[in-house]
Amino acid sequence: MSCMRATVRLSLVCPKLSSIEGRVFLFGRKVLLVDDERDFLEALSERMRNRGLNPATAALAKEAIQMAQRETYDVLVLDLNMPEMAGFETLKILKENNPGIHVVILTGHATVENGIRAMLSGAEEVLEKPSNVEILIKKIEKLVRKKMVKVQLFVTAHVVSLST
Amino acid sequence: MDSKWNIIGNEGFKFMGKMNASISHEIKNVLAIINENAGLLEDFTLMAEKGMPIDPERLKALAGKVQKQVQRADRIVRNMNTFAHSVDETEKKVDLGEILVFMAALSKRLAAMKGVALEVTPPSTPIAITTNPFLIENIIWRCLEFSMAVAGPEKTVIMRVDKKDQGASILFSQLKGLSDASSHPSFPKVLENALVESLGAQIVVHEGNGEIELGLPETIEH
Repeated sequence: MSCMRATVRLSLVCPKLSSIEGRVFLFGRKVLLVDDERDFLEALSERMRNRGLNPATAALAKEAIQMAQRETYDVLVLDLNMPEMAGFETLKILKENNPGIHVVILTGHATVENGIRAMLSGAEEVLEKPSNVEILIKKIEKLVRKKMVKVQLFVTAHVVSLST
Repeated sequence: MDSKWNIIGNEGFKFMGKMNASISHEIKNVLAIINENAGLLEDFTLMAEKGMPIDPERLKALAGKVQKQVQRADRIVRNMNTFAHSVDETEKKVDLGEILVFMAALSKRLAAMKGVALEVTPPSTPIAITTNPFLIENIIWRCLEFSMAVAGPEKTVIMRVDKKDQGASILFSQLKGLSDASSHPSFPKVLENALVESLGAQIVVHEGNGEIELGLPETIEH
């Protein structure tokens, strides 16, 4: 990526919602987008790339499960209505295989019932389609920061235990 | 309300609700795609303002994608309208080939959720019968729902209409799981039998051939 392109792309990251530090913080973060609408995946992943993120896509639940086994992602963005395997089942398997993965549910009908079920299944954020990409990225940023805090706490605890 | 609707009672509302929920979900998906493509156009504009050139071919491709989704939404809404109007009359002359294509389109997303593909072989000439449109949609859906469960994921259910001496028949085929009676619930059940009786129809399950045949009279007898 050329320097100019990178600079322009960085300037697109959450221009209204994120600080410059937030934009840099998100650069290169790996996001797995799971949705059965390929045109949706294509457009959303390009918008995320425009904002410096590093998205991968899966149009089938099985594909997503395999990808998450091979690669570590910072955040998973999952549709609940997927062919062959229901979103909740996919979420359950993904969380079992990757307990540390952070999940945003992006669904057509974000009902209270679905929201509660999603949270109980391990998702941390729920958004309804059509959504605002800046809000989605803000949620991703929140989850990545949460992950970083956990890592820092773990390292700190480890250092403390070694020094005592 | 005509007493014919009472045959299916709450199940009729459930059928209506299930189809409407599927339709609204599909419309939401279309809106989401249009939304992201409009967002991409906005991104290109913002990038251009900062000195990055826009490739006209990319813009053309994006416009094409939006138009494709608008056409998709138009088809969905047209089907939704046809479905809503199917309760207008209790008896109407209908083209069975058209009804089958319509039902396949309406059920496509629900079938995809189960990993099943639907295929309709339309008749070479129109096959018209006089029947109750909503009840016939209902019985076709019930046969289809059962067929999908029997066929299982990654399979295709084929539907075909044939002209018969005293009416017509709809055949649901490729149901390999039918021969193993222990693997699926019994069919038809009470509700299907009530629908069949009301429509003057009959359901024959050909277990060995993996087929379900829905026989329909040319006209409902009173």
